[in-house]
Order: sequence, then C-alpha cells, then structure tokens
Amino acid sequence: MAKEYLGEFEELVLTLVAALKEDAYGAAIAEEIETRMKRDVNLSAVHVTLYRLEDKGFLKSNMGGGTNERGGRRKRIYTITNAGLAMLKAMKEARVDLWKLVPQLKIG
Amino acid sequence: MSEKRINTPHRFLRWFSPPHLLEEIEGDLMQRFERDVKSVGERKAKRRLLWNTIRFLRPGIILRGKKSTNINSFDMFINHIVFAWRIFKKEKFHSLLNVSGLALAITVGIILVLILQHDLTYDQHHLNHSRIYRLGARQEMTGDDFHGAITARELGPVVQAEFSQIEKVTRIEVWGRTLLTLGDNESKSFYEEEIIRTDSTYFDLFTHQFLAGDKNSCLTDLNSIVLTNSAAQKYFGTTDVIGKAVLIENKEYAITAVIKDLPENSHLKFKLLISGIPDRDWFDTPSESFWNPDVYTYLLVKEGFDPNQFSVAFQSIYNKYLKSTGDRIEGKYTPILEPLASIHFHSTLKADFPQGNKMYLYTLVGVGVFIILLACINYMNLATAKSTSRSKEVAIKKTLGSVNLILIASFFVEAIFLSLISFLFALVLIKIILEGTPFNQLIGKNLAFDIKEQPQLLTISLAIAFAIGCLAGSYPALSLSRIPALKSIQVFSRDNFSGTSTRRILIGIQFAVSFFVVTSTLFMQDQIDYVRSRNLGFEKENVLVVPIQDTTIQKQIVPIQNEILKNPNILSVTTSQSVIGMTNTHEKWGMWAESKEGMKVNGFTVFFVGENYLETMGIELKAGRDFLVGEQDMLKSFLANEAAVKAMGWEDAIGKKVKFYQAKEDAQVIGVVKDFNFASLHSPIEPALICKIPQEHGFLQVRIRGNVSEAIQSIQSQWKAFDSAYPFEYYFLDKRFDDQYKSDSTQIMLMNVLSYLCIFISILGLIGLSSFHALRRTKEFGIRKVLGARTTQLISLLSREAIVLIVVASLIAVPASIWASVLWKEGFAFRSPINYLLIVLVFMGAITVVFSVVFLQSYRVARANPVDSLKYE
Repeated sequence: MAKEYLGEFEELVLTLVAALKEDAYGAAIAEEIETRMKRDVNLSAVHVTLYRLEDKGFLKSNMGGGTNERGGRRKRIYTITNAGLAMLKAMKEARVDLWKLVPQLKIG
Repeated sequence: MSEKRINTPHRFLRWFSPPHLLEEIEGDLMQRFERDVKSVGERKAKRRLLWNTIRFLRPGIILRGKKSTNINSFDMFINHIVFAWRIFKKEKFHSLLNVSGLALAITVGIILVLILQHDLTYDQHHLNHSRIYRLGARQEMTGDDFHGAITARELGPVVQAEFSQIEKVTRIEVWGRTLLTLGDNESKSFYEEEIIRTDSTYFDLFTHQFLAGDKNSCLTDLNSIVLTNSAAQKYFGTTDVIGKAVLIENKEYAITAVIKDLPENSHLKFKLLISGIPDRDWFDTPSESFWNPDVYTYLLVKEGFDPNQFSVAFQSIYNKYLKSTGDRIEGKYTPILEPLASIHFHSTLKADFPQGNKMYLYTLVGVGVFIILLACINYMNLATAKSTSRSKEVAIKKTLGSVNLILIASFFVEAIFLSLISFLFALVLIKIILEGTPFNQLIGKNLAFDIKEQPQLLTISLAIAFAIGCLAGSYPALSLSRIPALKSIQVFSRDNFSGTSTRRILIGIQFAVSFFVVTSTLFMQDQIDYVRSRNLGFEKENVLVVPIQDTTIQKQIVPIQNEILKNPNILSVTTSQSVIGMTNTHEKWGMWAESKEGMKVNGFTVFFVGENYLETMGIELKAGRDFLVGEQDMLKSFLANEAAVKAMGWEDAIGKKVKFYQAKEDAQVIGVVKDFNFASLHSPIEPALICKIPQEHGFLQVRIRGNVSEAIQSIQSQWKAFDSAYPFEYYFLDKRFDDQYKSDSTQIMLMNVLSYLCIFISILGLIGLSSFHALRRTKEFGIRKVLGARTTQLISLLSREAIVLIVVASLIAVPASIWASVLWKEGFAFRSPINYLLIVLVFMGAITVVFSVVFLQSYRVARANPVDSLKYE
C-alpha cells in the first residue's frame, strides 16, 4: 500500500493541533502560525486543511464552548489521533534520517 | 455587539457554506475580525473580513457534504466501471452483439433528432416569423370549393389600408421555367425554375443575409433583381455582380443585391427575386379581379394581433370589394390566415408550395423509436439470460453487505458504460452515413452532424446515448438485483430466476415489431406499385414532351408537326398548354354550364389543346365525337370527362351548353371522354373540359411507336432548323407523371432501410439468445441423445419455441400493419386492395430466418457426441 503522505502545510497544521491541545481550532491555529512562523495565512486554507486531515483520520473533532468575541458561536476543537501522531513521528524520523546523510561540517 | 456591523459577509457566507460548517467558520471569522478591529481599526478590519469570507468560497468548503459519504460513493462508482469493463472483456461475443445493436439504436436516435430539428424549425430563421401570416382564402361556388394559399394581388394593398393592425404586406408571384440571358457581352442563357417577383417590402418581412447590396433599397426600383449566392456563382462565377444586367423575356433587370442561399428548411424557395408586381387590368369589373387569386400574400402584423378578429373584420372588405361579383356567382369568400412557421407542415391549402408530410415524420419517428426499443430489448434479454452466471456475483455482493440500491446502480452503470462505448461507434457511423453515403440526397435534406457549429448536438446525442443506456439497463437492474442471495449460491438451483417468460415476451415483442415494420413497408410499396401500374385512362408510356419555348416555335408549329410525322417511328403529335401530371399547371376555371336550373357557374379543370390530342394521349372517347381537324371546333366545342358529366347531372351530355365566364357566345359539349387521371392518384378525378384553341403553345407531345432513341434523334436533328436560340429539351411523360410520387418513394426507401435495421437487430438478439439457450442445454441434450433422441429432434425442440413466438407475434402484428397501411393510404384517392399474399410471404420469410438462425446456433450442440457434452463444464 502506498504510504500516506503529508504536505508541508498539512504537517504544520497537524503539529500545531498536537501542540495546542485543548485550544486547537481554526482561528487559533491560524493566529499561532502567524505569530510563530511570521507567515501570512489564510483562514479558509486552515479550515480546509483541518477537514482534510480529519478525512484522512489523523484528527478527530468535537464542538467546544463559545466565547463572547465569537458572538456566542462554538468552536470546533480538534485533537490528534494516534494515527496522526504516528504520522508526525514517522515524518520527523524520516527527515532526521535524511538530515544525517548531509555532511554537517563543510570545510573548504 | 458586532453582529450588525458585519451583516453582509455573514449573509454571503450563509448562502454558500454547508450548514454544518457554518457555526465554526462564522465563529472563527468573528474572532479574527475582533482582533483586527483592535490592531488596524474598524474600516480596514471590515475589508479584511469580507476578503476572508470570500476566500471561504472554495470547493473544499462548498462541496463538503456530511463527513465521508462523498468519497465512498465515488469509489463505488469507479468500482462499478471496473466491473463493467471486466464483464465487457469477459463476454466478448455478447458485448459485440450488444454494442452493435446499441450503436445502431443511437445512430438512428441521433439522425432522427437531426431530421426533427431540420423539419420542425421550418421558416423560423426569419426573425419576425411569429408576426408573419400568409393570407389565403376559401372560395366557394357551385361545383368548386377552393381552399387556396393564393389570393388576388389586389387584396394585399386593400388589407393593409383597411386594417391598422397590419404593419406591412408583401406579395409574391411565382414564375415557372423562364429563360434568362446574361447582359454584358457574355451571351449566356440559362433556364431557371425558381424565380419569384415581389414587392419592395419583401426584406422588411423576411430575414436574409446580404453578401452585397443594401437591404432597404435593393427592391425599390422596378426591374431590380436580387440573386442568391449560388445563382450568382452559376451565372457569373463571382458574387461581385452588382450593377450587371440580366435579360428576362427581352426585359433588362439590374442586379442590386446578392443574398446567401436560402436555408433548406424554407417553404418559399427561390434563386432570383425580381422587384415590382404590376397591376392587372383585364377584368371587366374591379370586383371580379378579387375572385381570381394569383399571388401569395404575406402580412407582417403588429404585436397583439388577433387572427379571429381579422376574420370578423374582413366582412367590411368583402362588402366593399368582393360582394358584387360574389352575389353574381353565388360565391362565398373566407380569408385563411396561416402563421409562417406552420405553413410547411400544417397547411392543407391548394396551389401551395411543396408540403411537408407530417404522417411521414410521424412514421419515421415511430419506426426510429421501434428500433431503439429493439436494441434495448436485445440488451435486456442477453443480460437476463446471463442471470445464472451473474446471480452468483449478485449473491456474493449481497453477502458482503451491498445494499439493493448499489446493486441496481451497478447494473445501470454497466448498461450506460456499454451504451457510451456504442456512442463512439455511433459517431463514426453517423459521419459515414451523412458524408459517405447518398443518404442526404435520398431524403432531400442537407443534414450535418457538426459539433463545432452546433455544440448542443453533442449534449443532445450524449443524452440520447445515456437514455438508451438507462432504458436498456432498467430491466436487468431491477430484476437481477432482486435475486435472493441464498438461493443463487446453492449449486443445484441452476435455473434462472428472472423469468424465462419475461424473456419470451420481450422476444415476442421484437418479432412483432419487426414483422409490423416489414409488412407495413411492403404494403406501402404495394400501394405505390399500384398507382404506378394503374390504368390511368390515358397511355403514359412512350410520350415525349417538348416544351415550346417561345413564339418562334409557336408560329412554326404546323410545319414542325408535319416534319416530325415523317419519321416512321412517330405515331402522332399534339400540343397542349399543360401536361398531364404537372399538377400545378392545371387551372380551375369558373365556367357557365347548363344545369337543370339553367346556366350556373361551376368549377372545371380546362385543358387547352391542339390537333390530335385524344389520339396522341390515348384517351378514350365514350360518346359523341372528337374535335374535327381544322378551325371549326376551336373554342366553340368542348369535350367533357365523365366526372364533369356526373357533377352536372347531365343525362345526355352532347349538346349541353357551356361557356367561359367572360365569353359572349355559348359553346357546347360535343363529346364525352373516359375519366383519366390528370393529377396524381393522391387526388380523385375532378370535372374537366377539353378545349381546342388556335394558339398552340405550351408543350409539344409526341407519341412514339417503335424505336424511341431513333425517334428522339430525328426530332433533335430537325429541331435546330426551327429554333436556334433554345436548346432542344424533352422529357418522358411517364417519368414526369411518376415523379409525383417521389416523396412517397423516398419515404418507402427510408422505411426499407429502417426495416432492414429492425430485422438485423432482431436477428442479433435471436443469435445471442439462441446460442445461449443451446449452450445451457448442452447436458440435457447429451442425456437425450444417450436415451435415443436424434439430432433433428433436438433441433426441432430448440426451434419450436421460436416458431411459436413468431406465430403469436404475427397474430399481433398483422392487424396492426393492416390498420397502419389503411391509415397511410388515406392520402390516396385510389387505393390498392390489401395484398394478403404479402403477409404470407413475410410470415414464411420470418419462419425461415428464425429457423435458420436457431439451427445454426444449436446444430453444434445437437450434433455433439454425448460423451463430450456430458463432460461439459
């Protein structure tokens, strides 16, 4: 079976869901990307990526509470599944493995 | 607090977002907006919000259904197609039968659409067509009830002047064969049949595309002429012809415009258009002229025009212009308005342009639908016949949890898949038929399957293929998916579940339909043969017709006749103004005729003839005498046909008084001729009079006995001496007469092709089914053989069922085809009796074909050594 593969942005979002724990929802993730990575992000892109990851089985979600600044609308809180975690780990390891192949100290 | 400020983006979001995603997205958007208000201010934040909202308008959001169903059903669909493809490859023979049947069905379907598209849009290319009416009239008087498409040229202007609802009127006078000479120094001459003369308003009513010249001014001058593209090319080899001159009957016309050729589906066809309709001045009273229709009158009406109201208001015109003559001849005059687009198919008027035959269209569509049905039945039959092997597949699918709906879908996909493959073949077939065969010529149309020109054709034809696939797949889908899962896995229940009886009925329907189409076609052919071979009351064979072109010939007619008669191959020569069988040129005349209540006006068809008419045409004299040679009978004596005698109620016709409407002196009937069919056998024989006239013009008619080609050659060689201006032209009377059935023949030819298709498709189905049946009974036959059955017995066992079906099918089809042929023959005044021999012949043919197909398919199985057949599987 072909190995599942994550895109760069997908990996980023997935990692952030894992990191933000109870507070992982669309707007928060987008904000986090903007502040931490200093990179402009499109809210709808984050949403679509979250749905896609959910379809692939790396995330699951349920509706959380609403706050005043959201006009009382509830958030969809995402949590990473075991499969998602395994995927992240596998990708990280693969990268580390590759990284090891690169000559680290290049002199001359 | 912020709700109101951001109302617009929210409403927009609600419009496109799936409801189950709405809350979270809205929440996130608002949260972001609040943050933006703090950092960049409200105005900018609002703009960002709008932009962010718009960016949610993407497929990942809009198309997101409820979780996961989406992807799953798509996978299932791919799976169905993979399945269909495997079955297609596995069952090569059956797939081939199915694809050829379905491809034919789709081809027929698409060509039918093309024909319908062509025929149902007659005259709709004229932009104003919904506001254009043709004004015809019903003129009744004793002995004549004329529903004519033509009206008097005086009527058009009067109607326009009297009714405010009518915007413009244009009149059209149709010319017969006319000699045309090009001006300039090119002294070329052509005969042209399609010339019309019209008013300057013509282009205000009718839409044409101009290649050169001006729409508004090209007809304003008298003696202007407008050419179509092909006419210009033919005469001058170029369309750059403005200002050049054309001579018609020694009058010079200047070319003022060139228009594109008329679309095939126009009821009014012409190549040349001449301006200006002159007045008529040869009637005693103005009122009389209104009763003598001669032109086509078209009205462009204003919006909100009511035809019924027009008919009522017409009474005032009648009183003003028509009444005085109407009272004299005890006539009645009713205007008839026909919408332009309905003229071709719905008009039933006389003196009209060639009509479309609705019956013909219905028949075509009917048979086309039959063929599609036959092909679909083939598919159904083969599919359900396979149910034994398919039932296992169904059972396993069911066991694995497939729901009925998905099973049904899979059978539909299979059928549609096959029909789409057939569609590709059909496209090739259509291309070949329309461009590689004389099909278009045969049906007298110019059909083209041009997707670039008409992109909607692709959609329509795909829809046809799709619909045919659905129809074919419907029965297998519903019946096979019902197979109970448990039963079909059991080894011993080998018999099929979806009934043999249904399949029998379907095959029976196929037989019946094919039988019906074939016998109906033969009945039609029989009728046409009948009208062709019927004794017409004159002898149509071996008569040469030579048009008398002008007065040069006319003046020399007696020497010409004498010269021609010197040839021993020629029996006699005559002239007449119109030729029997040329329907359009027989004019009906209102004449005074003696009746029990004194002289009354009555309608007669009058033939104006020269010497030796009866002898040359082979018309039989029943009573009285023929015209005497010389002048004494000219215009003073008439020959009447039997129909005229009957119409007038004369006991002894000889000596009865008749005269032309305007004639001063009485003339009398000197003889009675046997009825002869001067028009096609579509119409009954009408009262007619034959009158001898001094001016021998029209057509020279020569009866030949003996060597035809020698006779023609001798006339041809003599002709140059009499006339150098015109080429010698001739045709044969019988051919011209039979040309009247040309559209009938075309229809029969098409029906023939279609009935072959029916037979072909039915045989395809029969082959598939009988081969399957034979294979299925391999073991049974082995056992029967071991027990002593002979090969012939086995074959008869297999064919018995098919023969029974044929008998039952013919019982249904024969009455139906008799009924259909009676309906079709209603268009003829002379009908052939029902030819029962044909039915017997078709029946024998069907039995032979069915039996040989079954025989070929079962022979191998029936012959097989029981040792092998028992080992089968």
